[in-house]
Amino acid sequence: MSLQDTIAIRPVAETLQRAQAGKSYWTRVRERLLADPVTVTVMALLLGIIVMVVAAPLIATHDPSAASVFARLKSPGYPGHWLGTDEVGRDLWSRILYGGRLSLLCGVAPVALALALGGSLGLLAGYRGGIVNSCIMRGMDVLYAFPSILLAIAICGMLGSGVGNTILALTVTFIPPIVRISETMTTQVRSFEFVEAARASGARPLSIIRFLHTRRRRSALHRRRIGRRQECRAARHDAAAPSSRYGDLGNYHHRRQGRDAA
Amino acid sequence: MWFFIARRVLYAVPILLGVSLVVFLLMKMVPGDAADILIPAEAPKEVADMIRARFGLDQPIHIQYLRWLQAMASGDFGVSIFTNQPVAEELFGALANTLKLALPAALLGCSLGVLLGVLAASYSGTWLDKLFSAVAITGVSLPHYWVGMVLVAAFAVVLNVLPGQGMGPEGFPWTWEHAKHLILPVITLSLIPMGVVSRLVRANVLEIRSMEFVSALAAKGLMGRRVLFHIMKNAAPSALALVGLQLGYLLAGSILVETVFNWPGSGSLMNLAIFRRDIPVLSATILVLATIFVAINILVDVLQALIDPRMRR
Repeated sequence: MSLQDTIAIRPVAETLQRAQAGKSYWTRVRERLLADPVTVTVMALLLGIIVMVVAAPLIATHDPSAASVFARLKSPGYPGHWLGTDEVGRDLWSRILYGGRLSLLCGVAPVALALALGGSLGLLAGYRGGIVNSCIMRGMDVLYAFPSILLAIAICGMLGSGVGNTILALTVTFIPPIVRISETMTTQVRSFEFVEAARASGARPLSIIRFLHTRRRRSALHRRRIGRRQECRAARHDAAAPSSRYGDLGNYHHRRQGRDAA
Repeated sequence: MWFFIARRVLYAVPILLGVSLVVFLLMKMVPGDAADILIPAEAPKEVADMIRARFGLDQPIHIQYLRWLQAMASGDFGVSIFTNQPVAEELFGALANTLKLALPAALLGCSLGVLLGVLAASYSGTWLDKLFSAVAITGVSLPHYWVGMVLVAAFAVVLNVLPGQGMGPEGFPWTWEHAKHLILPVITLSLIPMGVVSRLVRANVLEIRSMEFVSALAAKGLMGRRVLFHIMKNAAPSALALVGLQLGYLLAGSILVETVFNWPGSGSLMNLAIFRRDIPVLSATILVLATIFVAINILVDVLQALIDPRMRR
């Protein structure tokens, strides 16, 4: 943190502080959010899907697995089946609702599991360093040697299909990048003076790790957001662009944190 | 440079061992083993034990792993449970077919991607830039099996100008009869590399163009074309890394597109093996594809080091 940077940042920070004075945290969050129409639209869309899926038993018109020989392959708009039916006469609208539950579970559970497992592994690797670090990180290199879809195929193909194996396959596929980011961040933060001070004051490793974790959580959250985005690929794809907005945001936070710590 | 290559290749050895270990452990986690499939349930226990001993299934697991590794390394991929054919023959035939798709797709996708990326960067901020960005994002966002189905529906079913299924007569794709079977799947597969590469190239070119050395080159009176050459040379390493990754994904991830186009490649082979529970075929395919992926990554690293000496650490 050089002197110029501090001077350059200070006026911006002060202006920000003045603009935000007297408003509660959530008011500010809402203001910033409403200023971004794309995010609001996408959030409304996602929220709508979640509500629909949760309320599936209430708004579904049929049993999703009830087949009918008479109502096979009807096009949308058929009386009683407004989205039509499939090849064995099951109502498509109800199937979409109930199917969405599974899709949502298979989207959220692997990311959450991978974040918990990968985050802890990366934290451990970064904090202990040395041989522990080498073991964990070389293990991740092995997982990186599979193209992600091949790894998922390997797990699901060998162990069989089913929701459990699908979630397992996706979790294992998501873990390596999360471990890498969390390891890098932990290694960086570990060398800060406040950690050394904590160690000198006799803090136990676990409470130091808790500190490191809060410092690091922000970047892990960024990663999760980017991961989700890659996963649905519905919105924008600029993961390939190295200077995406999330990246800049992260940088700014770390610089600020570095200054606060010093 | 030779030292760099040697070190890079040596580093791949433990990785490949780890990959083989992962595949082997997955194989062992499959409920039941090969003997269970071969031996009828009513067979006496002595016969079952004999067959197990013949396949080495009575050995401790690390001995089994070493034997399996030895067989794999010497090119003996075992025998398919379903067809009783040697796996190696099926696998390499299928891999050759996948390469016929993946190489043209990678070539088309990456050259288009570089072209679009450079054009978008040179006209950044104009409608041309926005158009190319939209094309790139659309290409990446559309699921490629869906694009495949739509292309088949449009060009094979409605217009009936291109074949939508299979790879035509046997042989190498030199004639028009072969080539027209390639068109639809290659276009389908090339969309994602095109989008990803063009985004990266655009961002890279914009970033490098704002560096001081570019102003210096322009200031000393270099032609625009020559300046662009210098920019491209600086943008090349990271683009190369991405191209390598994409080629790996095309080889390993073509399972969906190959299923749509009924293309007898490694993806279709894996698909069949999964449905038939043919573990020898599946494990060998996965192992070989992962090995190819590692090899491509080494090749990319070496190429990067050739272009940019700073990378020869």
